[in-house]
Amino acid sequence: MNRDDDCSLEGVRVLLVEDSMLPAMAMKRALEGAGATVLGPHTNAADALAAVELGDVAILDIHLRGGDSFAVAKALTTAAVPFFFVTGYSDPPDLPPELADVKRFTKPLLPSSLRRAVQELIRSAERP
Amino acid sequence: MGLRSLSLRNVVPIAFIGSALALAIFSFAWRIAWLDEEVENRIAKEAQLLMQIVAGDVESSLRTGDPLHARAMIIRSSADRELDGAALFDADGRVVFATTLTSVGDRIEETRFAPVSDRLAAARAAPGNLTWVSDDRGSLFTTHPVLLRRERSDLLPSEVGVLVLRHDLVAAKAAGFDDAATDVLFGLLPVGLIGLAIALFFHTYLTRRAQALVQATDRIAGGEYEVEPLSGADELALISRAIARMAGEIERQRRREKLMVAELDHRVKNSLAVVLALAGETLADTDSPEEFAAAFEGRIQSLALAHEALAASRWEGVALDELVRRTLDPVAREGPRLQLEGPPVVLPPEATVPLGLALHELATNATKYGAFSRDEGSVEVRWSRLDDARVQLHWRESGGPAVTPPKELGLGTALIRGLIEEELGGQVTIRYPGSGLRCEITLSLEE
Repeated sequence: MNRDDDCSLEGVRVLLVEDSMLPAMAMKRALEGAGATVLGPHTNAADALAAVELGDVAILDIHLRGGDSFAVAKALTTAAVPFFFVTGYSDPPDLPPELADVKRFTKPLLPSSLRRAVQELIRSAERP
Repeated sequence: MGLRSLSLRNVVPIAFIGSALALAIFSFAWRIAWLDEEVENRIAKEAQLLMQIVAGDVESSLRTGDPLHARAMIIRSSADRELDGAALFDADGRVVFATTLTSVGDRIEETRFAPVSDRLAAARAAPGNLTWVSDDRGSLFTTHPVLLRRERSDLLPSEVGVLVLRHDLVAAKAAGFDDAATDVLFGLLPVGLIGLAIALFFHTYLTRRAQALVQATDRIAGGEYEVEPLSGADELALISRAIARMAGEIERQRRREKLMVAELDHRVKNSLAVVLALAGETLADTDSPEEFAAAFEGRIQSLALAHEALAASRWEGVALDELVRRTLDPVAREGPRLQLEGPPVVLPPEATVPLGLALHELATNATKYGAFSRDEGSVEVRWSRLDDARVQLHWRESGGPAVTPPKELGLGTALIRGLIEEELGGQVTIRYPGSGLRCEITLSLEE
């Protein structure tokens, strides 16, 4: 849970959308531990939508209190901000087809896995 | 074959064939019952016609005044008409002359006519045209009045009648019996064929419908719940509709089951994420393994207690007083040190675990630094409904050591704020008056 891996996220702004406070705190700690700046955690879609353009990458919980994060996902796609989903569902219901290719991670996401996943996201975004 | 092993599809055919048979037997019996009368009527009618002719012949011969001529005429005439016999009567009804075909000639067979002559005399006296009587051998007899010329009456008996008999009544009845049998047999054939056709139709129809039912239930057993019920209003259609309803119910239950399994999976993973996060946060907040273990165990225990209460309510919602009691019981039982007061309030399911954890943090803080750290200290938990959709909970400590606001925000406070404000969208106010910590939590009761 400490910075025992070589994943550095120095200077990366991560938009975190997660309505479950404790996992959000843990993710924030894990990301900040690797040098990232965490925007959020935002617990609802409205707050997250307002912050879409501020992040370099984003992490979205699919299910938020009273709805989902699909609108945020679409806004991120439009703004070309790379992101992935985290979810408690093995097979999330009602996933729109255009978001079916977005990478999904199942909770609980270990801090080391989370850092690696974000770094992978940045790499794949730089590659094209 | 017992009634239970009698196939439903065979009942209708058997009923059809049975009623066709019963109809045939009944119509045959009916024909036979009226056969005697029918044959007698027919023969009497024929005989009546013949007899009128014979009577005419006799009458004209009588006019000649020769009794022998009259006798010869009656023999010839009855033979010509193929009558079995004829006779002449006198005014007293006594047979003057009789003949039969088997004894053509002058042989008188009075014995044959004698037994009925009295009855004929009685019948003649009655009004009406012709009266027939039959003897014990089944022959029919009647007389026909012959108009006599008065001046010739000395030559012959003063009144003359003609009697006709036929011996073929028995044969006619036997033929009638055969006719009836033939008619019924040929009448039965089409009825039987129609019955057989209807029976076959029903057999096939019922077999098909029964097979459709079996196929439908097999499909349901195979997990295919869209079954088209049989049309119609018969019993099989009713059963079929009941099966379709049952299939719908099974489908709903399966879907609910699938949803519940997915939901359970989701909750388990979320719980693991929460536990993982609590471990990380607690580790960052504590200085020794012992301290970590105590704090972490306490938090996990509060999670477990809240989950237990939630499960006991079948995930429908826990009463607020029950959650408070369960969460605070490990620290202080309700009594002088813990007072609870408030109206019945049921919490939304998703608020149970966060509020339980927040209450645990308050209790832990009170044990470490507040009212529960001293024997004389006590905590009052009161709640009230602000309106239909919100509840406000007051945590008020007293009798503890003098309180001063903390210099920096501890994990406990961060958890309380995070869980109530960020996760549940409620409000938290924590104040530190000298008399003891006070905390106000406002929560939405809407799911």
